[in-house]
Amino acid sequence: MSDAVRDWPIRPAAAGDVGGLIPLLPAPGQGVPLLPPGPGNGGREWLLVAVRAPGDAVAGCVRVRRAIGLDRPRFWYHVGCAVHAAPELELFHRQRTLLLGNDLTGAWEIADLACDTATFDGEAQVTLLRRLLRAALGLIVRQRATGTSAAGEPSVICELPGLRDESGQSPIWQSLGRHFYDGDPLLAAERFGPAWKTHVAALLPHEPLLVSFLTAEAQAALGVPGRGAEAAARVLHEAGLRAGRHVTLEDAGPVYEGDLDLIGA
Amino acid sequence: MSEPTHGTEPGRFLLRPARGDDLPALERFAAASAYGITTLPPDRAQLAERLRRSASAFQSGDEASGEEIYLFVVEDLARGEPVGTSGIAASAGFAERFYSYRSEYVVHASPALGASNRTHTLHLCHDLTGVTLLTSFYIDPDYERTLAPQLLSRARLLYIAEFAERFSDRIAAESPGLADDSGRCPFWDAVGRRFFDMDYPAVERLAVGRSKSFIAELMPHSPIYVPLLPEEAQWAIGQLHPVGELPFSILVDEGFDPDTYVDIFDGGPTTHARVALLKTVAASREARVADTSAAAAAPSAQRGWQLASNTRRDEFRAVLLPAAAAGGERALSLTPEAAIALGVYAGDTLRVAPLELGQGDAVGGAGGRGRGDEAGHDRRDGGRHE
Repeated sequence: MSDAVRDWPIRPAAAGDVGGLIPLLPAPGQGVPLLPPGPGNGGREWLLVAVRAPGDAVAGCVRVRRAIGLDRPRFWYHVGCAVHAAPELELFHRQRTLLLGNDLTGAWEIADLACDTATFDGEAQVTLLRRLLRAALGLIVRQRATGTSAAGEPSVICELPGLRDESGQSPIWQSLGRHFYDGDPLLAAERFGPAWKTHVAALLPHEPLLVSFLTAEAQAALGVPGRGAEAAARVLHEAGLRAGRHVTLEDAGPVYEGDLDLIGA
Repeated sequence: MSEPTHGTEPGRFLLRPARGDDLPALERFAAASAYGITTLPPDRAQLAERLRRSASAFQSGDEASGEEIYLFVVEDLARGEPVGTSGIAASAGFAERFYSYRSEYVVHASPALGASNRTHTLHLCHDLTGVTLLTSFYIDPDYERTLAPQLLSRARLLYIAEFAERFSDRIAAESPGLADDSGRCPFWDAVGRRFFDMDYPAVERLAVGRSKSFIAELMPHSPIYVPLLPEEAQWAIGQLHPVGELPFSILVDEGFDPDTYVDIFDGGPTTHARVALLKTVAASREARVADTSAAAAAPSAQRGWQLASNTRRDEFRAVLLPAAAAGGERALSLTPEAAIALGVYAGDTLRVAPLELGQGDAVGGAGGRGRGDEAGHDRRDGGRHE
């Protein structure tokens, strides 16, 4: 199976692919696929799909966005550190902090990196995701080379879904987000697409939060990829991206970051 | 106004500066205070030092430094001994920052989601640095239901009104928060403990001899979002320990705001006010002693009481006198006993203010009132809590 996967063509998505994309995506809130980019997107968003053969179901997909957060503010939690020390008392406390911000604005984004997990085994999944990621990074390199690339966008990010329990609840959301938005985050994500993060950020604390005020489950889930995201995490790591100091708003999934000038994309 | 209990005639009480020979009484008060909520150090040397500091505050020159701590006692003249004590610290924190948590409400809204929230937050602040603090209130439980605690608490305000230049124009008082007998404190356990790894009694012991700011500087400076705290801790914010109820109710009746600041350790309310707006201060006025040969009013004819003090800084005295006639007199006839207690003669000036008790602090009311030993944890000289 892996061998076959290696040869499947990867091409820009067409209108007919949409139905096949929806079941692939790892978790709601990552952005349900909108219509593939058409003339209206201004050359800022691309959706690529892998298909076995013309007419077949979509086997995997990846989305590329340029210069994120410039049309609508994007938010992430920055995971920082605060030290409280009193040598006289022999007290030294290092704490993690969460600060809502727009740090990654202007970066390239790789999103919706997913494949048909029902059909393919683990190795085939990794192979397909690796190819999709390579295609996405290649697209970014070509687009940057066209000269339209703005200064200050050297990095590329990819958000991965965070840990959730069997009922789809995120411990981070249970411990933090729900105190500020009492609606169902999954429904809101479905309704608003990626814009939901902008909407919910308006309700969340804008001051630094000490992670120690969250539940133990939430603290343990911070920046940990959810089940089903391990393969994507692996291929991102292989490509030179690393989980950085940011996590997503809704489930504290890791945000992989890479420097396009260094990863040789 | 209810009749005071056990026949104590309010005119029997005298408020005066504490003296060196009050040490045994203060020791008795300190010993009677419950563990963890004591207002006075159970230590003779420390109490003696406090009395010395107070004496020098009362006798200090015209230029006040702000470091002064004034300690008063209320005496039952019939017994000839103090039955309670109270204090004033001229300037909270003095040379250091005085920390509190300030309650603020942050409103966030997302029109797109059709949602908004109003979130209670606590901000570490120094707002109350330099304000005058009422401290060290303790009344013998036998006198809780008399007018002695009223005199003990409110006559301090006459002193502040009379010598306003020695005090801030803002005033505050700390009240004990919720903690159980074993020292478990829900607010501390949810907040401070995250930074100290020690229980409340341990940090109390640690704080002895150190300023509160020493500890506060280890606390996070970003706001605490109250909904993230355990429910028990949320409930404890601004909650008063029952032992502080009597002095607290007097201050709230005076017009202190109990809702804005809480203590950074136990979450107890830190009440505050503008001095000039306090009931007793605003209603206080000067009056002249017309003569000192009045006959005592028959108790049945009693209209109520007013606070009256002399205007001497080092030999301050305050008593309760029968209430003034409507409109207030410019000249008062004192009984010889009252004149002696106040140390005044005909022609001297008094400062007087009506004693109008609030709904909540009628004397001799139903039980359930705490002992009123408001609890200073003694982190600073002068006792912490009002």
